[in-house]
Amino acid sequence: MGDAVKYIYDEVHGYIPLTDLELRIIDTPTFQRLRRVKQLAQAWFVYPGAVHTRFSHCLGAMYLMGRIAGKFSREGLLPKDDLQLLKVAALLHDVGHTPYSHAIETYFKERFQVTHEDISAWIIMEDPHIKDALSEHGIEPREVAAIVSGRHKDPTYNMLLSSDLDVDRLDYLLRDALHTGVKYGLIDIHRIVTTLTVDDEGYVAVPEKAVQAAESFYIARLHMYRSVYYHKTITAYQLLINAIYEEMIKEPEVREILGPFTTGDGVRRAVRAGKIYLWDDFFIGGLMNYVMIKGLGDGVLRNLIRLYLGREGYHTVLDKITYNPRELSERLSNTLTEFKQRLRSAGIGKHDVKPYFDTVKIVSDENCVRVVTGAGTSVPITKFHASIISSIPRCMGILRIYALPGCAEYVRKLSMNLLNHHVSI
Amino acid sequence: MSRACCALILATKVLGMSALRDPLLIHKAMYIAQKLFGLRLGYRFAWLSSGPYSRLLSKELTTTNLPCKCTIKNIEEVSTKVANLITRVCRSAGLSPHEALDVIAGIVMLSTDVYPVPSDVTGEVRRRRPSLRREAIDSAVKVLLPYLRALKQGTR
Repeated sequence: MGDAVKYIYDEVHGYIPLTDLELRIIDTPTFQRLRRVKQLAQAWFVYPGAVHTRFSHCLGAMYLMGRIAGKFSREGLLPKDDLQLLKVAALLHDVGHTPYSHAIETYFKERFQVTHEDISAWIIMEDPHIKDALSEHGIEPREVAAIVSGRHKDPTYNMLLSSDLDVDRLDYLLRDALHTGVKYGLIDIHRIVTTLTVDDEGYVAVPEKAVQAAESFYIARLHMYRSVYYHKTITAYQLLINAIYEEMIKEPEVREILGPFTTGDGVRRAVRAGKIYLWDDFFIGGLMNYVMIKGLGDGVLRNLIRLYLGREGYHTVLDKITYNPRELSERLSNTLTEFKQRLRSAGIGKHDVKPYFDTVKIVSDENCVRVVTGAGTSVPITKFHASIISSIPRCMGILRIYALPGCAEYVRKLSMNLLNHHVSI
Repeated sequence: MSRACCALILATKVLGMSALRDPLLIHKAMYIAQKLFGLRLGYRFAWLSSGPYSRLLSKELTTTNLPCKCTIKNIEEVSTKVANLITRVCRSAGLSPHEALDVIAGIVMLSTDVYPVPSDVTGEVRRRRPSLRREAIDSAVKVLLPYLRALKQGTR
């Protein structure tokens, strides 16, 4: 791996050194796009400071990968020659994020089974700017894409980028806590980074002395789930953006402007043509303004955009959190069907009400961080005798009903009667 | 239909109720069912030290319990095929059912679903499971060869 040719100052990690290849990638229009994709999309409706971007997060993940993989390399746990490969994988792991991050991704996931991970892999292997930059420096795009997809032959490489305690999560927890101001998200990153190791079976693990740092990571993440990532208002605006995108695609003149960014195949074509750099928050936001100025679409689309721009979106008429989502899910499915039928009978429009149910894993028993217990062996932290993690809930269930201002009161009463009656939570 | 319900039914038919005590067994059984026997549930798997792992399956299992209803028509047929394959590997390699499931999933994923493809798949499997004899893993590979060939030719 080469020496640093430039430094970028990052608000979370300080100076981040860049090698020649890393700078080459960052300077491509494809990577520069990430300056125009917010990390937390709709969080600024609640936390005005949450305007940081995917660009800085990707740099941060790369920096942490350099520190952790560098440590592993010095300890003989992975070859030095693979350091650059791992750093570049971390740098590019989110390169395929849709505008407005997860909000618009939902549209593509539901209709085309395309996720941002797919788009990232396409960009790494098929975007002319990125694949040429990699190939010129002797890095196989396919190998980078394999790590990003969790399918490198070395499972440790995959876990550094995709496990409970990976560089992605370590960076975004700190970054999001800083920009939202939510203090519960702060973790002892230095302790984790300087003590992380790999056991004989390739599992990433912490020594016993760092268990508290790992525990605080899980607790911090739980608090961030509730305060930020699944905040009722933030989720509401994600649903609203999703509805707006769906309606924009139905409107012929808007659809034409969106061009290839309406289908999974279209996005892939744009990647191959080197045009993915055009698909950012500014483009979608500008398009919303254009719809309003020109009076395009039917009243539904313009109403949704007006509500979004004026921060008058969905009201939360029901909000339940449970740490036993299995029990809730079993009772819920028939009840929600009846709820939706009642709404249709009352003439409530498709986008007027959004039932929302999701489960969030707090600790993954199968993929959690491990604790070194002996020479080369480790156990999952959930089974480590001296850890509190075995006692915290494994997952969280969230049930919400959102309604637009015009029908919120009616839906609130229906929700209370139907859902509270059938779902005692 | 809950996809994860089909995964639970598959795993318990293949390994009995003991599969429920170790969720990773469910991941491995589902990976084999999708990859070798065409069960179309759309789970994507990463390659981790524990073997094939699907984040989405892990999440969906948090809201799924037996008894439940899987509406995939060929779930019984696929379950039988997976179980038979495990039995053949157990007999050939002298492994327990759990070990056989782990080895099958590892061999198939390392041979067809990771990059770069290891030059010594048996060695890679053994590196993760040093307690298993190399001869046992080689026996498992022999049983799996027709399946691996079919995958490479695109006939599966």
